[in-house]
Amino acid sequence: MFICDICKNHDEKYIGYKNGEPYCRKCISFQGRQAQENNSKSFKSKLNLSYRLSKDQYRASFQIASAIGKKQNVLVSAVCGAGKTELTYKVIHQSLILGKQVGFAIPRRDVVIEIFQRLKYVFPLNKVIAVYGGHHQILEGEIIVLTTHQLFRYENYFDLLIVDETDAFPFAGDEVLMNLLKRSLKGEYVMMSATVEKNYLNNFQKEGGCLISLDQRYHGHPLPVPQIKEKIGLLKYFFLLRKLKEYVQKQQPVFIFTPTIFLCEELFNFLNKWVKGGNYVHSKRENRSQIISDFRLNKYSFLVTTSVLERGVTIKNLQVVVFESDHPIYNKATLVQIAGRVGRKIDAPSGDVLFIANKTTKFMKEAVNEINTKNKSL
Amino acid sequence: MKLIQKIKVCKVCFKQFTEFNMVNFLHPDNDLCYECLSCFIPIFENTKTQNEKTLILYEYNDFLKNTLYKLKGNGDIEIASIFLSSIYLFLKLKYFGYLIVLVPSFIQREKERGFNHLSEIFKILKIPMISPLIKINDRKQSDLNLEERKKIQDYIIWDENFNIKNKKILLVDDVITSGSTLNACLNLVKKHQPKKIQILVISKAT
Repeated sequence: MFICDICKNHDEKYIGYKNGEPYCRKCISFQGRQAQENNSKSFKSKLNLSYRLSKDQYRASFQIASAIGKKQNVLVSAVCGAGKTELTYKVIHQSLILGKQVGFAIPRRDVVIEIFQRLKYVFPLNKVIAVYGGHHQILEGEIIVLTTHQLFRYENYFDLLIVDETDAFPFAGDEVLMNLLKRSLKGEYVMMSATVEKNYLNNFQKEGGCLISLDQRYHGHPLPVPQIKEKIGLLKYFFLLRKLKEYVQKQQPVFIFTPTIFLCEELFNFLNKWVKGGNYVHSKRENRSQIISDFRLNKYSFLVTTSVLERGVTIKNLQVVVFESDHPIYNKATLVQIAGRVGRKIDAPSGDVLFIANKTTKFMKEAVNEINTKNKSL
Repeated sequence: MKLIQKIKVCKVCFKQFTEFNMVNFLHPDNDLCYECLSCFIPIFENTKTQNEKTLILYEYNDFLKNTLYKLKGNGDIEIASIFLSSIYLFLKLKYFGYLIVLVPSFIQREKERGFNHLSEIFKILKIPMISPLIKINDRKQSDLNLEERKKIQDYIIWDENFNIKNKKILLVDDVITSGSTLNACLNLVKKHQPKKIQILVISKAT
């Protein structure tokens, strides 16, 4: 029987035949230049932090570093806005001094670019590179920030691999990407996520991994709880319009999440007739990083978006509306992530999260319950 | 009843389907699920290239672009059959008695890929096929501008072992953009006095 070298697939429906030879069709798009061994390691590193970590963050980052020192894998379960990225600075610093190869993998391309800029600032002495689709001329560096899709370029390569946002599409539940991750590992990994599935957690603890949880945001305020608004038909649009006008009057920036690209454009056209000064972004929009950075500077009053902005975005005093949150693409993890966009800054720790839908789905209830239980444990 | 119960796997999205629709009924060897099939939008546009009849089959959209890239870029040979599987009967009748001439691709790229993508796509028509045209340099047309594209006629040559005198010729290509390659091939074919020429392309990029 044929088993694919890269993704360990042996399901017959994914196997094709080229000139009589079997090949795997599941991972066929993962082919390209492989990375070479990096020989220019500096064995030194400087941590350039302009702010201090909170007590909880300090404790957690110390735990991660000591677990990696004992060659244990680590799973970090932390609420949105807990400052997950900062937790890893210590362990990266410690590994770089020992001359280890460090990787930082994230499913989303926009987040890769953001993390790359942060790491470049924090580790000024080391060579930090970013690898993502359409940007892979340089593959070797001391810290490699990459999308999970690009892991196929690195076989048996990383001494320390940090995987952030493991619950995000397209990584969550994708066997090919999980196998690619295992293939690229030489040493230990640190997985970070806001929502960890129960059966995965059980498996992980059986294998002797170290679980670290952080149930509090760094500023100590509770997570904002979503409000569910059941509206039917056109009433949804008018309700949204009224709320939007309120927010714009108070000069609060607003994200409106929509399930599809088509609805994103339609909704923007509708809203633009009544409230001026907004914009929309989705994955097909060419200058979307420009629009997002303009939005940070308060050039736009609201932004209609698809789930591209669901993760890794921090904007002060943001309000969030999820339009048609009963759509099947919104599961529990996504809704919790979206709610986690709100109140991430210490000078604006609260805000509104609205779920507008025809009916309340199971996932919406679960998301609200999860946020409530996390708030109770404070 | 057998037809309905047969479970197939879509070649593009790997979903299982048992749908019983008209296309599956007419073409039992269709390998696409209904969602993927409806992404192929047939236009059957008749145009003329240097006074020769040209038939363009599909609209150029993202789905077609991605599937063609999977075939040409990634070398996923199984996907080749889906392009014509739902309309091949019509084409087979329309071009009965013709001889297919393939628009060339650079020989080394073909070796890397392991197959000629055009012959894989048009294999399903069961029309005899020859490839007398040879491309001798490796420059992708898509990287060049309009002026440079026209130089392509210097890089395509005719293999003299083939004789097409008084034969009906069907020139096939996957996607035409400016038409420079097609024009260069057409000039070479015309020099060898065929009885009739027609052109068939999968899609036209705009």
